[in-house]
Amino acid sequence: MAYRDLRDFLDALERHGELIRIKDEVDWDMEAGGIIRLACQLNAPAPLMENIKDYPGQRMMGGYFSNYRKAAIAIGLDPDSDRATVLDAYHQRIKHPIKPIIVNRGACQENVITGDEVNLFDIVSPMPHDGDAGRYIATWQFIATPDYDTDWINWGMYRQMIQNERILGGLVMPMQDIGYQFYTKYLPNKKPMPWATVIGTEPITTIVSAAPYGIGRSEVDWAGGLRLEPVELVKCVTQPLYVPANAEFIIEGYVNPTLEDRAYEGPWGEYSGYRTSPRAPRTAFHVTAITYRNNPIHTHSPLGVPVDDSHMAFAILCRSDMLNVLEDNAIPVLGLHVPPEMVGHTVVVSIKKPQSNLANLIASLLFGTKNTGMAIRDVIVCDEDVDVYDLDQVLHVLATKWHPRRGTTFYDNQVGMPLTPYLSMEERIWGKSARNVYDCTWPLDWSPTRDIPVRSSFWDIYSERVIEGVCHQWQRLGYKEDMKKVWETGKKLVSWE
Amino acid sequence: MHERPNRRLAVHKGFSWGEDPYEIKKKEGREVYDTIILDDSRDKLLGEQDKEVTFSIRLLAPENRRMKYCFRMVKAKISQEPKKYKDILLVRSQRGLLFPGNWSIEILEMSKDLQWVAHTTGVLT
Repeated sequence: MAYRDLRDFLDALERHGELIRIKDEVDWDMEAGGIIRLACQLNAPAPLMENIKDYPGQRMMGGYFSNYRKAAIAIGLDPDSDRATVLDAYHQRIKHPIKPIIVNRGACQENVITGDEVNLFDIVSPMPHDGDAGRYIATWQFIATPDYDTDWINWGMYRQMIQNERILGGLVMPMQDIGYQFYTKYLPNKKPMPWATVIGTEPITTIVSAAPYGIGRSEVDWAGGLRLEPVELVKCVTQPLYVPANAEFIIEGYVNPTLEDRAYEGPWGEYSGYRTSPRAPRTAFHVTAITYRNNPIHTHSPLGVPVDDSHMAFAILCRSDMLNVLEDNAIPVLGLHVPPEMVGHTVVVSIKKPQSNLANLIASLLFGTKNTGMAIRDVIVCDEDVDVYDLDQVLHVLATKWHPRRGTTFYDNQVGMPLTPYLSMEERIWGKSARNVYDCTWPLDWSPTRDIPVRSSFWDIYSERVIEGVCHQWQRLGYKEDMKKVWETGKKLVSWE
Repeated sequence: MHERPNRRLAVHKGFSWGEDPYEIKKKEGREVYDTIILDDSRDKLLGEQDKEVTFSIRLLAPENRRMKYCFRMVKAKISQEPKKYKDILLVRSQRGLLFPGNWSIEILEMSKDLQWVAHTTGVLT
C-alpha cells in the first residue's frame, strides 16, 4: 500500500531506523543545510528538524531518499534488498502508469494566503550553503506547469530562489520540458504561464519530476505506477492547475510572457558537488498564493558531493529511461548501473556480446536521449561476468580489460551540461562537451583458450564443489558472513544456467 | 564518501567566510549589505565608485531576521574605502566567494521592483 503523504513515509523511515527527530533549535541559515549535508555524506538517517529558529510551528527535513535502503522503503520493499532488486522493481513499475484522481479537499490547503498577504519570508526556507545567492525555497520539490494547448501537465524539479516577498528566481533552460512549454508556446502567444511549486510529498511523487518522462507525458501517471496507487490531486486556489492534495506546501503563481521580466539568480551549489551555477538573469516567478498544512514540513536538499537524494533519483529513474532506450533497440543488456557515487555522469552496462563494437552502439543510443544523455560523460561496457552494481568490480575491469587505445572511443562536439565542473567557462556557456566510451569487453576474435584468461576470483577459479564446500563451512570457521545463503542464492549464475 | 575533513583547496585561501553580519552591525552601528558581481575580481567594480549606480543588494542584518537575504534594488554610491559612505557593503564573486575587506555604500533609493534588473550593466547585478 502506498504512503499517503510525507508524514506516513517518515513514520516508515523511523520504524526502519532511517529517521532522526531533532528537537533542539536549528537555524535555517546554513545550520539546517549543514545537518542534512553531513547526514548524506555519512549515509546516516534523515534528519527531521522540529524546532526551526524564527519559524515556530514549521519544520524542515532532508536526505529522505539518499541511499538504496530509503529508496527501497519508498516503494515498500525490504530495506536490505540489493541494488539490482531495488532498481529492477522501479523499472518494472514504470511500465504501468496509473492516472491520478481528483479530490475536492486537500490537506495542502489547510492554510491559504493570497494577494497582498503573500510573503515568501513567512515560509521556512533555508540558506543552503555559504556562498549561495539566497534562500532556496525550492530545492527538493517540483514545479507543475500546464501545457499551453494540450492537457499535458509537466512536473519538473527546477530550483527556485527567493528574491523578495512575492518573486522567486529560477533557471529555466530551453531544453527542459518547462522551457519547451514557455519558450515555444506561452512566450510566442504572449500568455502568462501558470505554475505551482509542490513541496513535501512522499518521495515517489517528488522524484518522478527529477527524471525525463517525455514531452506530452504527465509525470503524475508515472508516480501512480510506481506507487501502485493513483496520486490524489486538488485544484489550486489561484491558478488553473491541480496539485498533490497532501503536499506540505504549495506556492502558486505565473511567469510573464516576456524575456524582459528577469531576476538575477545564482550562484548555487549544484548536484555535481561544486558551486558551478553562476549568477545570471533568470526567469522571474510571480507568486499569487501560498497554501500549507498545519505544522508543515519543508523538504530540502543542499546539493553537493554524492550521495544525496538527487543522485539517487537520477540513478534510479534516469537508469530506467536509458534501459527503455536499449530495450527498444534490442540491445542484450544484462545490467545497467548509473552509480550515484559518480553523480550520473557515468553509466556502466553489462552485455552478452553478440557482435563487435556493441559498446559504441550502446553509447550512441544513450548519448541521444534528451535530458539523460546530456549529463553522461562516460559509458563503460563490460562482459556478462561483471556485476555492474559492484563498483569494485567495475574498477577492476577498467584496470585490467580496458585497452587505452583500442578500447577507447572519443566523441567530440557533444552537447554538454552547462553545470559540469570540468568544462571551461566557454564550454559551459555554449553547452559544449565531449564524451568517452570504454569498451571493457573481450574482442570477439580472441581465442577463448589462448587470448582470454580465466578470472581468478573465488567464484571463477574453483569448481562448484570446492566453492560449495568452503561456503557451507564458512561460519563454522569463525566468520560471520552467511556464505551458505549467498552461494545458494547465486550458484545459478556460476553454473552458466 | 567524504566522511572526514580533507585539506581545502589552496587557491581558495583568503576568501573568508565572513563575520556574522549582526555582530558587525552591533559593533559598528551601521547597516550591512552585500552584493554579488558578475566577475571573478573586483577590478571592474573600482570604476563604479562614487557615481550613482543601480544594482541589487541583499539585506544581511534586517530587524526582522526572517527577512535576511531578501534582495532589494538600489540606486546608490559605493566606495572601496570602508568608511566613506554610511553603511557597509560586502562583495561576493559571481561564484559566491566573499572578497576580503569591506566596502561602503550610501543608498539613495531602494525598491522591491526587480524591473530595475534591466538597468544594471557591466559588473553589477
